[in-house]
Amino acid sequence: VLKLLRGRSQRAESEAESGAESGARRMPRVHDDLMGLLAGCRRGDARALATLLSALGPPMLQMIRRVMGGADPDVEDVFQEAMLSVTRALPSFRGECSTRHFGCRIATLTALKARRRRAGIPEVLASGLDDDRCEGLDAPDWALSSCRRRVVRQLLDELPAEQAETMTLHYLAGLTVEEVASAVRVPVETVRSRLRLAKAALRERVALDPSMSEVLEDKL
Amino acid sequence: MKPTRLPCADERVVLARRGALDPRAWQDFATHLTECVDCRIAWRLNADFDVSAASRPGDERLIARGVKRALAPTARRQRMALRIAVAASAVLVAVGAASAAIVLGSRVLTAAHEGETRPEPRTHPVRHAQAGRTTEPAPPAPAPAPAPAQTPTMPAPAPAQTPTMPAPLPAPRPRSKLAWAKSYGDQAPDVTASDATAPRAAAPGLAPPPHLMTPAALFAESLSDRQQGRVEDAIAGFRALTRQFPDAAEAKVALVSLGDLLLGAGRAADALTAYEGYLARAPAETLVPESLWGKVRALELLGRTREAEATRREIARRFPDFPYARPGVGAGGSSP
Repeated sequence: VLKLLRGRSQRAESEAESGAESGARRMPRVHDDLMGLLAGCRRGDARALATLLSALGPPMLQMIRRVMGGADPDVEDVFQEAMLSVTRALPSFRGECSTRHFGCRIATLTALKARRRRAGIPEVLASGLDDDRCEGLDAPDWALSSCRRRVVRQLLDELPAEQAETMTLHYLAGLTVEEVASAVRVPVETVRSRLRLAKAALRERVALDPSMSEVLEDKL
Repeated sequence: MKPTRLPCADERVVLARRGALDPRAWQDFATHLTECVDCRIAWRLNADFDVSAASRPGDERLIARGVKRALAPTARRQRMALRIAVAASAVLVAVGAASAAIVLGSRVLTAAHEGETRPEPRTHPVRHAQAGRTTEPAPPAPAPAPAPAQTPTMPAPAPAQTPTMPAPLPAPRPRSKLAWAKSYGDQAPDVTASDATAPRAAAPGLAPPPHLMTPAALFAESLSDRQQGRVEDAIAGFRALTRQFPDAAEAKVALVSLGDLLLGAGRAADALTAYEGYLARAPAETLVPESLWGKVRALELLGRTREAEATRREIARRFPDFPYARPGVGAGGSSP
């Protein structure tokens, strides 16, 4: 990985020399406090790689918990798989988005893949109470919130991978449309289109289940 | 269902979640949520899933394990690369050692084989005479156990069989006389040495070819070689005769012939040893004048003119009728 990072760094430098302005137009400048560590990784610094992974760990773990559920027993396995994927994908990262969003995207993809791998296996908590109780919510609100999460996660399993990824990054992780576009490396309009389709699928799903209409229509 | 268009492009939901709105913007955002279904859905879902993403006790250890697991392949690869390098080095060393052993073994075998067939290299006589050397250097050792260098001082008896020298096997077919004589001469004591007068037993285990089992046959063979110009064969044959049959009459005569051949080959020191060997073993026989004359020529070639002149006077004194003893006859001639 460190060798690939070094090679990628050299190629990036040569490309920057050949067409810095065109490259700048292609890649929007993103403020990223982890760029220093990334540069250290490209120089072959193993400590920088360890520090970078430690910095990416919390947002990636949060992302996995959003997709899998906080109490899911596979969270740690999926997290380790995502960390491995990040380590392998770092050489191909060219700074189109922030490093944290890059890690969040990989965590999202890994978690979605894990969910789809175990398709057919009953949900961990069929009652819908898939997460720890939030102190700020009373029992009815907590039940409704948990029900919404379950519906959305089931929908993520059924949506096309691109729509599921875009929906997760926007609605579950709270990234802006531009940030999602940078992370997924697609145009902004493509992200908007995917979000539109995902939301339509969500509404359709709620419409098919009368018990869910209250969950979304009354509270949303 | 008709797709719903996102009316809010300013991402106020995200800005509100990140705390980037001032109080007035918050009021506008709250009003907007009551009107915009899309923003309301996004706001509600973000809040719902924030609960799932909340940190839990033990997250630090979980993250540390993940980092360690992610870094493990790199470290494992480095260790594997180190192991491969060490293994490759060990293989290279083993291959090198094996190659060296093979080359060394083949050289030993080749040298042992050449020791049986290669003639002794000739040495330029004038060069040694001009250098005034008292000893003639031994020829380059072709075998691990070379023949001991012959010196005028007549060294002690030659050492016994060298362990590295392969013992001659019973010949399934008749070997050439030169090969037998060379192999014999490398191991048997030299009767031309200073103590050549003492009778010696033949070296055990070394039998000449069947057709050379008698001194007369060996002498005749060597003489034939000499007449046909095979000087090295003749030298080897005479030398073998003097060593294998030291007490035979042919062996004494062979010493003079050997001296002549060695002198003609430029090996003056060896020739001098042969002449002196004859003079020591047959001090009153018929070839003494020839031996003395050969000694004169050898001494002159070796640059020992005083000894040569003394020997010349001895010839004149003991054998006044000897034609080469007359004044004006130089050492360029050969024995009659």
